Amino acid sequence: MDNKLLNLPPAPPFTIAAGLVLWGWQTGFLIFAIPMIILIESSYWIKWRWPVNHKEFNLISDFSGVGFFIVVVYIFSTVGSRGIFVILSVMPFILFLLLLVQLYSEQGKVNLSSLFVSLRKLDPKITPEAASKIDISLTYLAVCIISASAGNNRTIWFYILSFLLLSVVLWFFRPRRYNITIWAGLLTLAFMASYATQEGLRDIQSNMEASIIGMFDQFMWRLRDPDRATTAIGSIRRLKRSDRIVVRVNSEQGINTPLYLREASYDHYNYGIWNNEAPIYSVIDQGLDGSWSLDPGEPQGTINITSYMPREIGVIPVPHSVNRIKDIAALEINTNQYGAVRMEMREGWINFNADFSKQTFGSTPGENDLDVPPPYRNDFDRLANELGLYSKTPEESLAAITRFFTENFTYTLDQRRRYPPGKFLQNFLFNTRTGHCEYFATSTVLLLRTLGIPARYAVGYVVDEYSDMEDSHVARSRDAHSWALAYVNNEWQVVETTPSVWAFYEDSNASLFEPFMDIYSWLSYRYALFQAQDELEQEETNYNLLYLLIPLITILIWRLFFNQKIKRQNVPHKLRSIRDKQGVDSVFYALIDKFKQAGYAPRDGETLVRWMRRINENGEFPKLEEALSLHYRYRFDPATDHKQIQNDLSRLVNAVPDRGIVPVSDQPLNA
Amino acid sequence: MVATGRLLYHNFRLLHRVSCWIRDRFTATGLLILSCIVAAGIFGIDTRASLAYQIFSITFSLILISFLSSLFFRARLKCKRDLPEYGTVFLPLKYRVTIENFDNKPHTDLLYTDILESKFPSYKAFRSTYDPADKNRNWFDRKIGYPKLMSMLQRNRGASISWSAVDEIPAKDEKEFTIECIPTRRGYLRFTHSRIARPDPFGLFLSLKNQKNPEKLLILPKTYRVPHINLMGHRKYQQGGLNQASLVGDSQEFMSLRDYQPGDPLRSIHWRSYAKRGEPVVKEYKDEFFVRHGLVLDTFITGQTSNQFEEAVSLAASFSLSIEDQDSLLDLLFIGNEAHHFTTGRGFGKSSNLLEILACVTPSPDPDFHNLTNLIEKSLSEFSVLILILLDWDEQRQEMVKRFFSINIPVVVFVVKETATRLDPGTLCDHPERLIPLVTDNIQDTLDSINWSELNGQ
Repeated sequence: MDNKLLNLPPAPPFTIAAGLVLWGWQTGFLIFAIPMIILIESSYWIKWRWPVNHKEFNLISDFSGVGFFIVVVYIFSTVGSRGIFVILSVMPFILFLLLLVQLYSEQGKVNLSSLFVSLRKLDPKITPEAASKIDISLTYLAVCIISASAGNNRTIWFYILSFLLLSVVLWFFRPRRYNITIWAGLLTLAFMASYATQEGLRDIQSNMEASIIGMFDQFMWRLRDPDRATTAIGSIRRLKRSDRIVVRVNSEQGINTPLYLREASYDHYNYGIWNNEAPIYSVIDQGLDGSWSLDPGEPQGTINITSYMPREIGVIPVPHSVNRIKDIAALEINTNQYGAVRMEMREGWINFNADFSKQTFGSTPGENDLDVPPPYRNDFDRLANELGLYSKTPEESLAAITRFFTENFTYTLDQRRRYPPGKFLQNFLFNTRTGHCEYFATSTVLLLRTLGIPARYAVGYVVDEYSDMEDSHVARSRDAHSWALAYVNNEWQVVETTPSVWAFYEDSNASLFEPFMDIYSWLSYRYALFQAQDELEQEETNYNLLYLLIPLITILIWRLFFNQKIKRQNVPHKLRSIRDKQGVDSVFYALIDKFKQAGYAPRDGETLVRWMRRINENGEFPKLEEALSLHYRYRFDPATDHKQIQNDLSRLVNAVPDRGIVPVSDQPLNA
Repeated sequence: MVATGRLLYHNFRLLHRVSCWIRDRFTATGLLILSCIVAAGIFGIDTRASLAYQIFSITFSLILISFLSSLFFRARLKCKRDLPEYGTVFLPLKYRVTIENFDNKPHTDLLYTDILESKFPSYKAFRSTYDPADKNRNWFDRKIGYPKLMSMLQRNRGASISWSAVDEIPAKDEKEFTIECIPTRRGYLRFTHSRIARPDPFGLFLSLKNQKNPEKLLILPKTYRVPHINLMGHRKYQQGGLNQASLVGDSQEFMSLRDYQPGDPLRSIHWRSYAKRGEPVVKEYKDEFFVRHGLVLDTFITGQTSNQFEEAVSLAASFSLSIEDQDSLLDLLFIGNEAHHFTTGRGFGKSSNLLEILACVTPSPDPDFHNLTNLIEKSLSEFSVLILILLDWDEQRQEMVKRFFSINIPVVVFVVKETATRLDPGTLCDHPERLIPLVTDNIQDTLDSINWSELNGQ
């Protein structure tokens, strides 16, 4: 019995035509779809049929199969692995002949054995499928819809039309025992469920990717390619990095934070990837005193850095102005012209001292340091014009760019919206104005280059946290950062345009298990030191600690939860030591207090810039914006002359008239 | 290698269950939508590379809603089968089914099928069984063995009963319809359940209602056209005596006329008929002297295929039907779990009884020719003719045949083989025409080509 529940019914009239239109529209084959539609739909009016026997069906099926094979080989050999979607998009062509023969055959159906060669030799008595026949028109319609999806023409209409098409098919084949209301109600439910599902699937993919990157980051964070960095620009997800401590820094002279430790710099950007096109590595000769001199400059100080080598060879984080590496039994140290320092030693934790001078380490600019890739030129040219940067000196441009980003942009680790490839930076600059450090650093570098200022993209860590437990400064995996380097006044300068809130933002992502991870990290680090005893005599490690792990852990937990010794240094809490915080003595804070006392409290989530702008809405404090800019430089720019800035800042703050700060309560109600 | 085989076997078992679940619960359109889910799921794994994930979402939601709506199937229905007494292998079997509706509303768009018991083949059976259909399969299917396993399962089940659409069953009424299926093996078909299915509003998913309804139906072996075998055998005195002779043979009471057989007394010749036909015709009386055929079935299939055995059974069934019309008895002898000896003919069972026995005969994996020879020799003195259906023509079988020949009993030997091979007559060298090789693929052709007159010695 030919029941529509048991055997595939023929596709309802005009549904194949609709499917082919959908396919043609999505994949750009509409011009081919039209004659195909005419031939297929004509079969409803043309009554002429062709006698096609079993063997001829087999022949046509085999012909389609061979055609499919040739298409697969050709597309994979020309397009590569992404050719799978090209193959998907041409499937209606491949099956078209078979459908056409079926429609115009007297038989009206295709033998199942024509489609599956394995059934051809089987005895129909024992394997009834070998003799069964099917109508492939509905299958062809399904193929058209799935093939249409390969066009990836992202519009909501594809979803709506696909759903409508399938609904029409279901309407024709619906069992008559149900009334239309139930059917329509369930269909509406299916529409809502499918819409939610497809939205959910996109989110699941984003979250999974983020998790996988997080896991990758967890285990592979130490691997840094000095010649290539893939950014997360354009990725739709929430970035998440681990809380693992990856760098420890100590210095007898004290450390001005934030301290930028560079791992690598890059000079060429394209579609989310920074790389060095022609890196040249030169081996550093070891001096008689066992040190490696990178730069002949006079050392200004020394810092002790502990980092982890994932392999025998890897880049090490060093200050920008490093000029000598010492106190480490490395096999070889080499550097490239972009300032990356690569060390060959052994796997595991390493500890070394780095002398630094005033001069930033790295070669003088080349042609690539001024190159803005063609897809981005117009955008950055437009931005430079809008900001009036072409008429400014390099120093003024640096200040204006920094101000532009810090005042008009917000920091986020979430990227939810989708844009066409190559348009991510455009949308960042002109539409969303939100992003993470890679957006800021990349945009800054390309903007500087547009102005003719040589610039590079630098990656590494920002050390901004002090751990009482370890009695040293630490940087975690999530403190990985990127910034711009600008060649101004014959030296490379750090240009930090990422809003300062980024560190707070990163901290907000700290795991609940971070304290435990810190203990584990510290213990593993101490154990590593114990193993490398011959190299670390100066550490004066108390090895007995290793035999007292259990009571130690107990004590540490007690300290952690009851004494709360571990605190974030960059969170404005009382336990933070003043000596470790650059710029906390800024006189601008006094002005902030004055505003607060006058009742100008910042709103929840309001940045300092926005707060000040709101206060100065009527232009009552003309010097306020300039003072804020100086305050930021004093607070976050490690390369500036702090005394000079403090003096200038004091002058500007004092210029703000006390009388102008009218208490909110004294202001007229209509103000 | 064994571990891999076992792993494959268990995977096949799981795959079969999943596939059964899917085939039982999805309509044809539902299966197409399910295929779309799989295809769109594969191509849509990267939601940025294509929009296939949207197709996945749509099809998945449709199936999900279908599945959920299928959970609300309430119906009070009772199914009753009306099975025939027998079926025959590879001949369409029709039977009636009645569904009674106890609800106050009619039911439409229902599907019905019967569930047959099907034991999943054991791993040992899976490894050791040779499937003749394998020769038509490709290398991969032969190597992996899944089609073979399915073929074994199908054989165990005995028939494929597909869904039948049921028209509207009015409220408080019943509906009768016919189901047709083709049995694929002899023996009992064991019905376990009656199954009614109702599609969901989209027509994609079926909600099932199973009703226990155990019954069994005997499927008889297929038979071939065989002429009457009338070897130059002698009538023998039968121990049944007068009681038996009143039903079979030639007593003093005239019964009928028949062709002359060597050993018939001259006084029995009906001269008038002889003159008319030109061939001797004898009068038949009820007496304790009559012809008795011994039909020996070789069940020892070591090294042979089950297909070979099935053909041997079919041949035995064919002879049992052929001899029924004769005024003689037929004894079937074979070794199963134990030695079996059944007699049919007038006064004994009918040939249909013999077919029932042949429907259930199973092969014996351990060749015990000694036991078989003893079984035959016990009744040898009563047999006029011995028909042996063998599965091979090896030394043991030749030796057995030699013993029967030595006591001057006409013997005809059919050897059923999978492939055509030339057989050395061996102990039948004096009567090579009595050794008839048959190839499983064209048994009927071979039987048709035999010169039976020559074989009967006429």
